[in-house]
Amino acid sequence: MRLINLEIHNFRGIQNAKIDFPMNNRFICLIGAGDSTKSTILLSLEWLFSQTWNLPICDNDFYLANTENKITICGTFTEFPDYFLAEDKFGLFLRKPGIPYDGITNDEPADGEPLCLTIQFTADSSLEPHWNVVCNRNDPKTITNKERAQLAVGCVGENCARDMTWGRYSVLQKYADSKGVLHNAYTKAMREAAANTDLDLLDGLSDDIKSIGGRYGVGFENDIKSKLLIQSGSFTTSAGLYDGQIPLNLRGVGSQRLLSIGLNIKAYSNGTVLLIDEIERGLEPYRLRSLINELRNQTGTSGQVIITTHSPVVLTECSASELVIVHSQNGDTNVFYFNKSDEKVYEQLQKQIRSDADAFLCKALIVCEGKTEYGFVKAFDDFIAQNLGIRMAHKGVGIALGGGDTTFAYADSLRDRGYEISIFMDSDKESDAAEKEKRRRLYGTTIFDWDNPNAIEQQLFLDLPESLIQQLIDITVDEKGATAMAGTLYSEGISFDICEDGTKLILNDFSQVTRLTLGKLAKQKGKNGRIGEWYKRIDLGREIGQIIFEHWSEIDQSTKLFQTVSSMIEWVKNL
Amino acid sequence: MTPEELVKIESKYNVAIIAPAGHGKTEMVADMVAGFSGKQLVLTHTNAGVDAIQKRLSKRKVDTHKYTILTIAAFCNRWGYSYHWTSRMDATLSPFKKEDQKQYYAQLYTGALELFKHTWVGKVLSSSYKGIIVDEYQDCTLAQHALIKQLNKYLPVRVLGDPLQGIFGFKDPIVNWSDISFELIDVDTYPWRWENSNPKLGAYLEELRSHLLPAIQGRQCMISIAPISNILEVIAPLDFDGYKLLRQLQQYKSVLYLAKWENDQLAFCKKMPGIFQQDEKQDCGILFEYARLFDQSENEQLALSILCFINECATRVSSECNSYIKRLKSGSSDFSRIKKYEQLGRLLKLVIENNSSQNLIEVFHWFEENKQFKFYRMELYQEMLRSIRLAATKAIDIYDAATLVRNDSTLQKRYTNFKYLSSRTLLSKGLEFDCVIVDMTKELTAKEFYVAMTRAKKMVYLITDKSTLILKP
Repeated sequence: MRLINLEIHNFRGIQNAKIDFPMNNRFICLIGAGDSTKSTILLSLEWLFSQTWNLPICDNDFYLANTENKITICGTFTEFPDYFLAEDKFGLFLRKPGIPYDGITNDEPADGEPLCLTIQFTADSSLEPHWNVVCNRNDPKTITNKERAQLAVGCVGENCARDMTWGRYSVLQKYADSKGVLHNAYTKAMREAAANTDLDLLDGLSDDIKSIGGRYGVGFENDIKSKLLIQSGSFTTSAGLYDGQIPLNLRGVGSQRLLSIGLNIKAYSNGTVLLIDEIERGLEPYRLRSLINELRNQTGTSGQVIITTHSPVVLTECSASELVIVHSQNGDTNVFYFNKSDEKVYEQLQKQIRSDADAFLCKALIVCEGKTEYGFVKAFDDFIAQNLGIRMAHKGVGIALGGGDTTFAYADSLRDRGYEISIFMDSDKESDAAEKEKRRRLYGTTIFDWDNPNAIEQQLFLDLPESLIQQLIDITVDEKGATAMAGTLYSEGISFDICEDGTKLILNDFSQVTRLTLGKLAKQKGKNGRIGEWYKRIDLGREIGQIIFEHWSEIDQSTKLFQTVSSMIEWVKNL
Repeated sequence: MTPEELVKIESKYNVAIIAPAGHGKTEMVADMVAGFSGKQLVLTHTNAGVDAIQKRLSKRKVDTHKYTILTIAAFCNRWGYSYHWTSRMDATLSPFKKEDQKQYYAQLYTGALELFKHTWVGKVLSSSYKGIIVDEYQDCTLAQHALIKQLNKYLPVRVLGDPLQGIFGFKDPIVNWSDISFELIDVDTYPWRWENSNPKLGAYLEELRSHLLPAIQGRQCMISIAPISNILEVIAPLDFDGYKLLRQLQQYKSVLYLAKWENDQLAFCKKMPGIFQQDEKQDCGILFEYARLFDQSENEQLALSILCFINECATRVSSECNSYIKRLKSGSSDFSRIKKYEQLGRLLKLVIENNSSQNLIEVFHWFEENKQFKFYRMELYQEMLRSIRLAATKAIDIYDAATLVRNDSTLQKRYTNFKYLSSRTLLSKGLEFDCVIVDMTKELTAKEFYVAMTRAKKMVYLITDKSTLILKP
């Protein structure tokens, strides 16, 4: 099975949500800041395809606990079993993908497009759930829980301990049923349980479980056997899997979840839709990485895996096109995707995921033109944490690296995907001015920049007091060596002394001309033996930031530097 | 059918089976549904046909998951309206509105054909069924035949029928059996219909059939006629007197008179009023004509229309009620000087004062209860009563109510419990009677003649003065 889209109204934190799942990937990762309703989206899918005939619905399941507005969850999917195609099942309810369920639009299938069905879940103030198959032509038709059970949807969430035991809704039983292993054997064995039989008949699965374990990185000491479960010192009426003397439902959360995932995928031959909330739970980074790659392999041509995560480890394993970014505001949930339409921007995104995936888990982003700015903002973050008690992360603010020329396009693409955006960039290119102005005017984008025609280096050398300029020079001397630096300064006619053991250069001249020259040297590429690009690294950017913020009180309030940093503080504060 | 025959038929992707009248065709359908693997889609033409097959399958306790039975029209309707954009069907057209009917059926079959051309529909059909069985294939129109051919692209199709009974009278041309391009398969058959009533008649009809077969190829047929006791009596038209025959007819549970044209059919009823009842065609023109008249008239006009309508259904109305008719025609409602049938006068007065349906119905009932008047169009009369009542409960025109009464399968009623029925071959298809009077004064075609003769289970009276009949195909 494969989900195509989902519409949710008045369910928990979601008043309205419309989600189209990417069609070019079967592995989908939902990300977003906390409370972005990712888990509610997964839960809505669990409800929509629930295999139980009833659900314990309460007032709190309604948006703002207001039962006046009924809960509706409407999902369209394809690649369902042929059983559903029959005329007396849902063969007269087939739909075309991408058409809303509105009762008006032509939603009839077309040759060459996937055949879809739409299920609608509703619950009103009576708290009674209803499941119907719907289309824009016929009256809704009830779909029973038995029919829903034929749709291959599995959830891995809170209840994976249950999955290691034999029981009605356990995936172990689902799996056994799908492999034709004696559902009845369990019942029979249970009947004889009083007579102390061990449940040999159920052990046909032992090797399967072991191979699934092997695949997902769960090891066993002994043969897997089904035995009665001991709870609180007494036998319960249920049986579960044992590794030797140890019941599997006492294994760590991670191992249980891995086995549950493996069983879920194997329980359906024609492709499971597997929903995994917070996939990182209980898993070490190495297991997480191999799990994600295994899941991606499993869903190569059939089925679908939809996960949520807060883990940068997971993100790092994902390609940008697998990500669905979820934002929630006043009950409206919006989702965004990264598509490959702009090759360069996509590349930049992919780079960001590899290097600093955290950014995508934020609500707002400061898009930095280059590495210097990026490092500078890192130092800025420490500064406001110490002085104002604000952490950017707490405000949901992350830092993104714009990549020079792609900065505008990159920022635009992030803004289009629901992120609150500001841009931190130089003012040394004339052509940028119009671009900045356009974004300020059209989207109200905040832009942190400098006096014309300054880059960050130029502005700093102009605005900093003499002692800090000396410290900036010290950084470069440490980095590039005193000799090379001395040559560079000398060639531009800047006056300095070499002191101590020759590892330090002391500037004598802080005139306007010198400041301008230093700024230019720090910014430009090195040539003819001169050192260039003094601070173009994240760590160096951070270091100059640290120096500046340590002496913030010494900065003249009339400088552009002071103004720009002040407006940055304001922006973060007001989020 | 023998198990060998079933296996052979199931192995073919399309077959046509010829089953003569009374040779257990319904049983063959049941054999196939029960014997084939998987679910079969069984299609036929009329609701009566659906009922007959349904009853047989229930009687044989065939698992209901093994079949779906529908008329071809209902099947197309189900699909056409479930996918009305693809079929381009106009959902506002109704088969229950007279002015829509023609267009409705035209778009029904062309629309369904368009729809069935899509491969995804084929996927649904092949997920739903293992095969299609079509009964009474000789009655298929060309449009329906095209449809079945299209469905054959997705599913095996087995059709049953009797080309010798292919006499559908609608304007649409019907399929020519010789070029349906399904493989013809011979199945051993036996004239079951006559097994318990009169096996000799069964044998005679088989013999008769062999002489009529050239009609299938469009050739004329020659049949010599001679009476055979307890099977066939021949009466010359001049000697034919229904009343004289009545004593002999009394022994039969049901008697059917068949004539070539509607006029002859009606004339015979009129001759034997209160005994033979007119079998009305589904599209009963006179019913709609008067229904419209009732809708459009009021007061004296309405009262007059009622009398005219009853006059169509029963004897002596115009003579016995002449004085009322005269006054009403002149627009007067002053019945004070009429002494005859004063109760009728009062009831008519009520109608004139208040055109309510209840008052109309009272007049109808008065005639029904007064034995002076002998009804020979009871079906017409009853259908009008039902239409008036339905119109009142649904608050619609009587005309629209009449359309529903005649076309909506949930409202349709069949009038088969008359002991003596006067009909035509086209209307009598699929029905059985102990005794049949076939009036060949105006000669039937060979196919009509075969259908007519095979309606009888025990005895046939043939009205003709010829010893050799030369019949058109």
